[in-house]
Amino acid sequence: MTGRAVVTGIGCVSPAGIGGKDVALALSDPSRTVPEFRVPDFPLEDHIGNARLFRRVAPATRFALAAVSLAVRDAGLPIGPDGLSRTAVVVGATHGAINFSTQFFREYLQDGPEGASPMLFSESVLNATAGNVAIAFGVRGPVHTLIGEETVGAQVLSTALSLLRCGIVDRCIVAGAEERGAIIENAYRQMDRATRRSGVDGGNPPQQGEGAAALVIESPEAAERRGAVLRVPVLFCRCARDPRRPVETTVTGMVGRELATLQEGAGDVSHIVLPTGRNREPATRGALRAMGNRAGGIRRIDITPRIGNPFGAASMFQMAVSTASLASGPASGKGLVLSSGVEGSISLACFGTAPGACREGDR
Amino acid sequence: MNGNVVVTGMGVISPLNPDGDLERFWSRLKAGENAVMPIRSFDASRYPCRVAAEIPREQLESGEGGDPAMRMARIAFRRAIQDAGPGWRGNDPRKAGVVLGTVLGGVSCGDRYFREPGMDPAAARTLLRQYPMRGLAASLAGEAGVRGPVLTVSTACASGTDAVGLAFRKVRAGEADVVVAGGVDAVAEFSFSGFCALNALTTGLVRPFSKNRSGLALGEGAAFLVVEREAVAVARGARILGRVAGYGSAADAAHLTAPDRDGRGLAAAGAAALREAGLAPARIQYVSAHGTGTLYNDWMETRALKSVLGTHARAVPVSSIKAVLGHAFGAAGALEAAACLLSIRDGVVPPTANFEEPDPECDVDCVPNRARAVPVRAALSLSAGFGGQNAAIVLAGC
Repeated sequence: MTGRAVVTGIGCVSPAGIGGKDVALALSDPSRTVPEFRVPDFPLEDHIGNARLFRRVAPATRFALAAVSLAVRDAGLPIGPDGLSRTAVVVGATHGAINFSTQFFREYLQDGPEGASPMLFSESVLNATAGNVAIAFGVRGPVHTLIGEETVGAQVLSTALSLLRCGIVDRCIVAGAEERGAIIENAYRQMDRATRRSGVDGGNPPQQGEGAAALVIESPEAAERRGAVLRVPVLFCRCARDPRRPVETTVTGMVGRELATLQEGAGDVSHIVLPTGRNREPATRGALRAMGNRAGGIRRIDITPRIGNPFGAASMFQMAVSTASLASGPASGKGLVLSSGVEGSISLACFGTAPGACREGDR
Repeated sequence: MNGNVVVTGMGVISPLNPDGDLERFWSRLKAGENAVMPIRSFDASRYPCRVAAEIPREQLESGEGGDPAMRMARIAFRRAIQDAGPGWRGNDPRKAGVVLGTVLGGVSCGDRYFREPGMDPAAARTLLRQYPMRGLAASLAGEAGVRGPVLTVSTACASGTDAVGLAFRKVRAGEADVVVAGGVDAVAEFSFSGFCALNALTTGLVRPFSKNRSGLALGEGAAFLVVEREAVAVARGARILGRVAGYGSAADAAHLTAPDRDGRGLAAAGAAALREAGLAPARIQYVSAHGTGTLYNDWMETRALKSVLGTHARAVPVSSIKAVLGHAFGAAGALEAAACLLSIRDGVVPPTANFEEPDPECDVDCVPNRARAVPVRAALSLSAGFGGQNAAIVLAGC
């Protein structure tokens, strides 16, 4: 899916910090370390005016509300429930509000109907995060939640590009949000043990992380009309899965095919943000092989030491890092975002720099 | 790329047709046969409400394993692609996709995991992998040899309609030539307990638009449509069941669980779908309502219909099949889309069963209790859900 769109705002709520472009850049800094892959506690009031309305939401939703607020602010758009017109919200997740779901299961199983909290139930449905974002920011356009693996961010971006291309909206708030949960960590630990035993090359996946990343994506015309400062073009976004072939082979094919569609091929790719999830090693090998001799000159950004593997938020974090790097780097170049999922999905997104787009020093 | 998007196959499994026979679904729907019964899939004796519309678990095809929702989805999916006929996938598997809508996915797996502490780790691992249901769409795609776009959309009770709508967009935009789209959800104690806590469940019959309506009943099932680019369908000589003519999606941005009282989000979705279809309100001959049978939904929906259709809202037949099927969450919109296509095919609209007493606040022609012969050339199907989600699609004859 290729769409004419630009990124105009970045927001990150991560174990390594909470902020906009600066935090996204910090995620790519190999000298930074974090004590654990948990988002530090923060007051939601610092990010949205009507925070009291959202005091009972799940952690993943809190992260998303703050990340969206940061992205919307970064984009120079108004914050508040009065509304962003001609705007859509698309959120990606893998597990959603897993801790609320777990608690709700326990409540009704142990205490029966009297023990079941309606609040826990409604906040644990998979689209609660997107619904709360729509309420907080007054978005009355299309609001979608996509469920997937670590690659779901690319599906979110594709859906947003499609909405922009159809002319249904002028901008999309895209986000990924995830929270850590003991039950999930335990399940994946077991799964990884089983994978290792089976001898499949699933790599050495990092520990589960959490957080939310959000981007504001706009049509170039809408961004220019309102004088948006940051304008990083989205060049393409692809998702694939081919269970018949090894991940490495599929990635080599996809990266080679997609780079061939770009005017400079791999020639002006300045960086690649590496996957955070399962299959990250074979996916990375596949991408580097596709870039051939150029691979050595391309900066490899691995954000896992700062955020672990935040599943449904993973690829959105990667995109935030790529766009922030392009916005603060040299005046031309491209960034690749490669993601791989626990069940074998892969995705590739490419961001660029555009003549005339404002850069770091212009802000 | 633009152009007509047609439906060439349908697969439905519901409490009215546990065997997946589409014609049985349709004939029982038209007859207004009530599928809401005492719950059998779990012990509901401690709940004040004890009814739901279920598919007997023993009637789900054996040998499929996994969560009941997964089994339902597989049955409906296979029926749909079989119905679409040979060559449905086209020549390029990268131009064929799957879009699945679900609200709670494999929630029964989570229920079992918590109910059986100390189970074998391998079994626990399988349950936890199936729970988010993120893998089901990919699994269906793999089974069908499809390698194009694969999405799982979760927009609460609008998921099924959004799945068909997003598939329509993908085909219309040229991202795919064919997409198998639909929804699934199964009755589980998790959702039952949640809706019970929200005081949304009826203890008796579901009576959409009746003054004495008392809430919704949970339902379950799966439905898939094969949504295809018309040129491709014609070239392969496919039987065309109808067109997806327009799609709209809009949010209330008001409350997480309660609908906007004036139905503004639903009206916006309906208006967007009509606009995309290029149809004036008077060109709609049937409305498949969200029609849950809760007090506020039916009021809100009536207001939304008046806003979208104007004076035509009082004249057009509007019915809710949830009266007999219960509310099948992620499957609901897809089941209703299938019913719309069957209405277009046969010129008959299904009734709103269990209707007793008119509600002056719901002054639409809700086709009370008896199916009606109506030549339907275009139908509007509406869905709404938690999170302030609203979706609408227009289905039309060819």
